[in-house]
Amino acid sequence: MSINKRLLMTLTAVMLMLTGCTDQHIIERAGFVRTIAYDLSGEGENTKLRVTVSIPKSNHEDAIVYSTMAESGKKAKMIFDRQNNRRLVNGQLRQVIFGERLARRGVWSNMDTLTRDPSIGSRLHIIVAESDPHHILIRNDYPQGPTAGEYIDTLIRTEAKAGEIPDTTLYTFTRDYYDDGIDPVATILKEEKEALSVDGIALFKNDQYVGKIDADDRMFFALLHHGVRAGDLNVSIQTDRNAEEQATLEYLSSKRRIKVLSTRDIREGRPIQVALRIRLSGSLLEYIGALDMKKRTDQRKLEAELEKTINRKCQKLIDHMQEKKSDPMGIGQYVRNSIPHSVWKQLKWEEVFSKADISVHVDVKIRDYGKMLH
Amino acid sequence: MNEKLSAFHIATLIYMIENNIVLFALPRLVAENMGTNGWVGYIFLALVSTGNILLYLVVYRMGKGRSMFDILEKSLSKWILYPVYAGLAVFYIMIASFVGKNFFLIFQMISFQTSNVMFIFLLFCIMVYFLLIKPVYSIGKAATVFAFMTWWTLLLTSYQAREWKLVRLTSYFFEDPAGGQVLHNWAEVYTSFIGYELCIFLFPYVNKKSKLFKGVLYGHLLTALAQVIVLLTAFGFFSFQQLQSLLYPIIDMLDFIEMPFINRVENLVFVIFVFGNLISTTMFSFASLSMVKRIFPKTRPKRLEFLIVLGVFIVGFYSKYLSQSEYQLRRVLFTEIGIAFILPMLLIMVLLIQKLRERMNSHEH
Amino acid sequence: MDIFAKIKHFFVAGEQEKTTVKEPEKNEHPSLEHTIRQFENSMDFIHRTYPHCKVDVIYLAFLVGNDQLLQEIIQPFTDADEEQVKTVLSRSQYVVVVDSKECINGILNGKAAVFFRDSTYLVDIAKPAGRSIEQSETETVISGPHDGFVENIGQNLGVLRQRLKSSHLKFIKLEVGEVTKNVVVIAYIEGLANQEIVDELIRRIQRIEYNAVTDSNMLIQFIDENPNSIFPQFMTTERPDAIVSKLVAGRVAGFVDGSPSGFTCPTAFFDFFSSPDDYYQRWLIGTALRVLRFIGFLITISFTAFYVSVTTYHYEMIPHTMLLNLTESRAKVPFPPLLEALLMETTIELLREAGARLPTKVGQTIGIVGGIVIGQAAVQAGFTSNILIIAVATSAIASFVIPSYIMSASIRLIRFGLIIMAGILGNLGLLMAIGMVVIHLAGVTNMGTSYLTPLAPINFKDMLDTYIRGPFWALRSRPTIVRTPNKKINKMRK
Repeated sequence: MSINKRLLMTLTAVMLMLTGCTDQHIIERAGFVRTIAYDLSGEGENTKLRVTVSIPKSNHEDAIVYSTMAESGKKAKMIFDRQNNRRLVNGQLRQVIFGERLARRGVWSNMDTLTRDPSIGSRLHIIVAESDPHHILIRNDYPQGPTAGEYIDTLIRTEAKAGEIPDTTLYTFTRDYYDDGIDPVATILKEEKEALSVDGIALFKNDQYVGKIDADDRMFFALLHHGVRAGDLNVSIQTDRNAEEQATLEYLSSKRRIKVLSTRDIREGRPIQVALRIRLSGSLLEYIGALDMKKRTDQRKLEAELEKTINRKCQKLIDHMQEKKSDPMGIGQYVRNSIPHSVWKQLKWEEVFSKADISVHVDVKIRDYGKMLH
Repeated sequence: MNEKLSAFHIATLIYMIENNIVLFALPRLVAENMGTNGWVGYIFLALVSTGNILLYLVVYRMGKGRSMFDILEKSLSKWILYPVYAGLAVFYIMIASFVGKNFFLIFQMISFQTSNVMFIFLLFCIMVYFLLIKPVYSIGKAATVFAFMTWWTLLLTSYQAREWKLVRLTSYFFEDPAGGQVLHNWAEVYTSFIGYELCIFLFPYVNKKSKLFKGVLYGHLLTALAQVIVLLTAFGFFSFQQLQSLLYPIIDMLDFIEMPFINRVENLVFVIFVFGNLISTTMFSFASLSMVKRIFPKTRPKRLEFLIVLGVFIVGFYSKYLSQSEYQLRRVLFTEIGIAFILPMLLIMVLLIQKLRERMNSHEH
Repeated sequence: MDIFAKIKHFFVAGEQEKTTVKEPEKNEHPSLEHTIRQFENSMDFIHRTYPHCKVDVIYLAFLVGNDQLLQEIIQPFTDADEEQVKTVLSRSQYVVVVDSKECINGILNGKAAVFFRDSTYLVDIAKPAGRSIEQSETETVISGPHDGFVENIGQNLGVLRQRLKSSHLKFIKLEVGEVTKNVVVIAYIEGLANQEIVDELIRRIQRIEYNAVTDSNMLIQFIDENPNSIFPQFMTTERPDAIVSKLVAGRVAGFVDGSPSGFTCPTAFFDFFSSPDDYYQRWLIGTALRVLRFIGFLITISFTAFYVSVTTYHYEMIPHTMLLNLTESRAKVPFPPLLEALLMETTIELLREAGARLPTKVGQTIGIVGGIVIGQAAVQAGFTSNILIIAVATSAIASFVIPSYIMSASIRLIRFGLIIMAGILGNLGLLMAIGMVVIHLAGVTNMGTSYLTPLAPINFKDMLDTYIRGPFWALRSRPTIVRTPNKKINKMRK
């Protein structure tokens, strides 16, 4: 009996040694895809999906870039596998870039695989590129970082951390896409001669790219979208002194609150009333203007002027969003909470949103005026 | 060692058994079956299960701590009971196997896509064997150590706090469940509470000082509390429709956590739940073992345990795919809910009959 | 019929076997010829005769001290006649012996056997050889007493008595070893230690049947309940202050003649992580030290294994800042991470074992050569990655944080098992291996108490002195593991 037991145990031990063999992803033998770019190329009938992947090399200097036409992302991966001497794995995917044309058509069909695959993390950034994504990835002469993938990664991370652009990851996109009270957003990247720049925020309706918030306005959008934690705001104040003055608030922190004032007769098509209250505070570190910061009255005047300008800017943005029928601020969520379920279900929120009366109230508090006293 | 379990260890034992079986899919189950703000319904179900535990308490008190077998065999003939024991033993082996295997099938989906699950399950069954041959007191000790190693995973919900928004919970209650508000669906959520009914097999191993039911109630309520916290976090973190479409929302929640020196902690945290899985499978096997031991009391030590673990392993061959396994598990757990309710009621009836008979006998004399 | 009988025999226990009881041997009266025959042909066997008083003295030359020999044997018996011899032999140091075995034992223990007429007497003139008290080499503390036990049990017990001046401290003498007849002494404080534990310990030691038991560490392997476990179940220490504190806590201690370690019981797993050092520092610092030791324990068993599992299976867990560094460092290595890790771990174990065998003068050079040069050369040759070297070196250092050398040896062995399991199944393998260790630990007991106290069975008061070093005003009672009849730590029951 004991010899049999020993034999059995040795057999089991040997079999167990072989268990995980096929699942090994030994790191130096795996090719980590860091960025995937999807866009459309060709015209009319010949429009096809083009997939580009960027795989960083371990010397930190280069990246291997593959590109092909394929019907879907996974099919393209199979083509790339044939070319690469390592196994391509998606576990370290950091960014997904959509070309503008594809984004206008709708991104969800390609995002489906990203949400299904359990090896892909939910923190990967969703980016819409205004220029050709393939070209963005192929260049490796950026001064900020040798490879495009790393550069984009750190660029977006730093911007999002400060709160200047909303953090657009696969998780936030999926969450907002499914939610019927809010629309997702993405970051827009533009290629310039020496650098890549964050060129604005992409507005989506369901999964189609419908509108853009300019880069100059992105801070105002951030105030509307979420609570900013540490951002910089530059305002060109239009004053009654017939001059244009500049003020910059740094280390900005803001809170926003949405209140649904009235939803009466919403079924009959009467526009709803929503009030958006933004409370922000920051340090005034640049002021080019006529007011004197030593005087209390002038301080208040500056705050009032800032409020007016910010208010106007925000209102303009909201009008723009209403025109595009995209609600990234999530007003729909608050409206949903204030009307009965059956009413909400029958509503076409994008129509109601575009006709809604949304008013913005800004409350500016200048925390300090820097080191100087005037 | 004939030491008795104490309340703390019973609590951790029940906590480890319950906190694991349906945990990963729980937010989706609640969202699908109960609709928006389903976590309120979950609290209600927790109260129902507490009521069930109180039924067991009544059995304990009325029977004065006697084991279930003694109570039954006093009134009913052995020849009726032995087939019932055998049937229940086989049933518990099935539960143990499905519960154990399901975890590894989920794990296969995440990390080890091409490995043969049965090898990993074999290793797992060997661990179950080594745990099963020890007395219940040692199983309780091991469960306590495992509980200390895993309780901190609950604290990871604080990482989701930044993205948590109250407004996503919506102000509707129980709207939009997929499939309507049906008892069957609510029962599906109730399967996450299964585990407390194993307390009846612990009757012979406790004494008055152990405060068995204090431990069981604490363990159960602790599990319910932990689940409610997780549910609340999930409902505020994901949008409602998203929650209905994610297969295992807990894994997605863990996916989100990013720490500076380690990413994607779900690869580690999910695996930590293997300990809970181990305790669940072992305790169900223990239930089966108690039944079989009653039928064959004079066997050598370790032989019956070996047979039962072999049974668990062989039944494991039956469910090969995740979807199939989930379905089997659900069916088996539904039956277990039924048994959890019917068994104490049956025992109470038997005890009442016995009391009546005693009273009649004492009247005659 | 046969098959059914076989199945039945497989499942149902058979009858118990009868144990035979040994019959006690009959006494034999000691005689000179018999004794001479036992000891002849050995050059240290001395037989002195004093024919004028008809006294024969037998002793072993290397066991006796010259002064004692002079005083007890040479002086009284030279120039004495028979009557004076009788008076001399009636003194208390000359003990009458009636059993031949006892007589021979006495000679072996350094006594001299005096044969006069028909009686035999034993007189103690022993002066055993041994080193003087000095600091133990394996257990050192920075601030605290620096003396350690030596090989002679008399000296050890003397040191103990000097430190513990209580009349309740009792010593019980036993003998083990068929050939060596080594003396074992059990020490305990009556009223503080549980009498059942003492009796059980005595019973177990008396049951030992083995040729030679030369050291405490060997003795404790005979008397424990889980001989196949990796973990040590009795605590051994060479420090008198540690033994004293354990005795006062209510534990039972034991010494073996010829061994500088004393052992104590009952012990729990977490006792191996405490050092006397903790009590000589302030409690916050002592707590920090204890916590550091537990962290060291976790690091040493899991760090390398975690590295293996992450680089082999779970690459997604690597943060992106480290990913390329890691890949680059592994790029030249021809082995998969599991083999690489096992190679490095084995090398470190070889270094450690070699360092333990080498004389101190050569040891330091080899340490430097092995540690630095081999490590560096291995990385440059492309055998291993430098991150693995860091992992292995950190694990090795962390394993020496554990005060008990034997426990750290056990833990090092577990580390290998964990690395192999991590290489087979990644994180799941690692955690399942840890689970197996926990399952094993849950079944280990020491003198009837659970090995995992105070974690399981749970006792919050005991935790004040296990996971942290609680301040002295909070440590009010003795640990529950000792099952003492006298709980309060500040008062002795009169």
